Amino acid sequence: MLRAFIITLGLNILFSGYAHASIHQDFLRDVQKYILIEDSKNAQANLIELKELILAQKNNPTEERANVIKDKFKALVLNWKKVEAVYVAGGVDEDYLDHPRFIDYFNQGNESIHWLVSRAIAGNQDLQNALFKNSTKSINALEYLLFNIDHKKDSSRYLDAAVISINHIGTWLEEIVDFYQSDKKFVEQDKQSVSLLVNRLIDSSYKLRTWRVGEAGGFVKKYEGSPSADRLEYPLSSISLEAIISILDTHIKVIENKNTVDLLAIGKQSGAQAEIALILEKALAAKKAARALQSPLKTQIKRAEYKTLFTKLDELHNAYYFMLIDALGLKSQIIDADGD
Amino acid sequence: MPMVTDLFQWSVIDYLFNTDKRLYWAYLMCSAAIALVYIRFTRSSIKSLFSKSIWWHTSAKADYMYFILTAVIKALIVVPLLFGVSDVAMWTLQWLNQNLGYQEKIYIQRSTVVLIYSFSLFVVSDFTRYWLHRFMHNIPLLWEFHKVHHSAEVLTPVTFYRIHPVENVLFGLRYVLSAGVVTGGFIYYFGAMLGTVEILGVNAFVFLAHIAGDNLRHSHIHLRYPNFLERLLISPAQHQYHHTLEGSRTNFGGVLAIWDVLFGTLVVSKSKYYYRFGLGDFNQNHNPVSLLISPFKSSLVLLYRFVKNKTQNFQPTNTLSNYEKL
Repeated sequence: MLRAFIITLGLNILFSGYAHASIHQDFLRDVQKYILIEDSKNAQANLIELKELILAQKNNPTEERANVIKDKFKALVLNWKKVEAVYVAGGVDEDYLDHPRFIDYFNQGNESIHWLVSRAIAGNQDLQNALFKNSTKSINALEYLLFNIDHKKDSSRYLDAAVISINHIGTWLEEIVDFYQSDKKFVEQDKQSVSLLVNRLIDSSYKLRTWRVGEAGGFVKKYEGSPSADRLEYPLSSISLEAIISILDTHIKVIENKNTVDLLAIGKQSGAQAEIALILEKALAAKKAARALQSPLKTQIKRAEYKTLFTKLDELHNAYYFMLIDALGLKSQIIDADGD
Repeated sequence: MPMVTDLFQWSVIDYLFNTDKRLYWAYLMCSAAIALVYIRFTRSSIKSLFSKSIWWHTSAKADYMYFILTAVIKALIVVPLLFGVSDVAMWTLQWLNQNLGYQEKIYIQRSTVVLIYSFSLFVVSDFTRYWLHRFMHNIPLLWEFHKVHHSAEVLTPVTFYRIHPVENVLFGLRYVLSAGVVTGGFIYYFGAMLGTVEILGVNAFVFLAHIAGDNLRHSHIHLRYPNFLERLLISPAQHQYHHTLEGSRTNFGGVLAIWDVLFGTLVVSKSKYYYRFGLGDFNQNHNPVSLLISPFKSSLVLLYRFVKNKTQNFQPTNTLSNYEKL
């Protein structure tokens, strides 16, 4: 009797552990397949198309193509933002830690990328040498280059520089895609990877609130009371708002995806369903607040709705922290007397 | 239904089956086993373990009644704290973000973070417990409430619960603050990598302390550790010395003795001993209701005297110095 009880208990423990591991791994597998690989490959495809368009523009400049280039750049940015929002490769393998920094220079350092690039273009130096810094080949530099193309004038130096930038971004992006396609550790690491992914979402929600919205609106300590559209992420292409929505879409896709195992399912399994549902609610509310604004965002930063967006993003960021704290299950009532 | 659950949570039976409680049956069994080994090695009589003069002493009977009374009080008046661990953790996080700037989460193995966090919770909690315990002795107003615990003349595991509800609240707040600050700090650096190492739902380090015979602290089993170990961990004998008149300003530690070593309050145990527990002949109070009420009365007297003559001749009521004069 006792033996049967112990065996049953043992099997229960064993299989409940297996069930946990299984749902974590199913979730991670789906994230890898439908988010990490899919989005990074889309960004890579955008980059290849962009390069082809630029090379064609160099041979035969047309206004129509110049506009297509700008649209393709926007598509690239929106896909890249999705990759950046949940960039977990650096946490799985530290060799990949700095890849996003090589691609995207927003809010890094104090130098003006636009000034550095314009100086390189204006000079006579070989562009490969003139654009030696990572920042001058970043996606932010690419924005400057593509949105200064004038099909009526000779833009060949801009276009050559854009190709250099695309090659630079492409190299790093290719490594990211290859990593996601070949990596097995992310799924195998189970809880470690779920924690890593949540950390990336927290990080992304902080940057959304503070860098992408708060700094331009003058809502953060550093720029308190002095709003400036120059601090928006994409001042030239005017896709800052679309980039914000793209990042929020990625958060939402990780949390709730009816076709795959999502973060809500993990929450249900671990008793944190309400906390994760709250995050989803906050992410949807932030997206709604973003949609209430009009692009370009530079015309919106003094509107009350812009402040609302900041507040909603702040709530989203805090909801992630509340989820973490509640998941620890620390008791807050008067605990057992331990006066001694 | 929640009301019934809450009541059960505070009921006497729950104390035996809840791993959070010091009287959890397995902790008691472990302590009993250690006591039996101790008796075998010291060649004492096993009868001493079940001595009627201890378990059925007026003081012990008061412990039992007081335990039931306070359990009922807790069941009926569950005192919610003004804030919880989550709030403190959130305040800590916001303070760190505002003052140190945002911290990108550090990539480190989750298992390592979980271990360090669990240990930190335990160590910080033990540290704050040391200081609050010391304050309970050294601050006259707090001593009025802590005297309830020290009025026990015999020690049994139930004496652990001879604690005034005001002291419960203070220790609850202490836990909320220390666990909240530690948690906020760890989330700031490690984010979602956090978790606790638990055994049966209890922090593993706390669990180990409990099965290592925490319940013998309130007993007449004079279990000593080697001198070097008594400088690391408080032995039952050291805590029993703390329950005497002469030793009550020493050995404030909970599990770790290092705080007593660092702050000069450690006394290691002696082999030959005769301990007299309690507050002395003139202060025997074993009426459970009086144990609850009298601290309020005496602290009011204390406050009145304090206000009246601005502390020049100010002495807390029934302080140890009074006994030392006896």
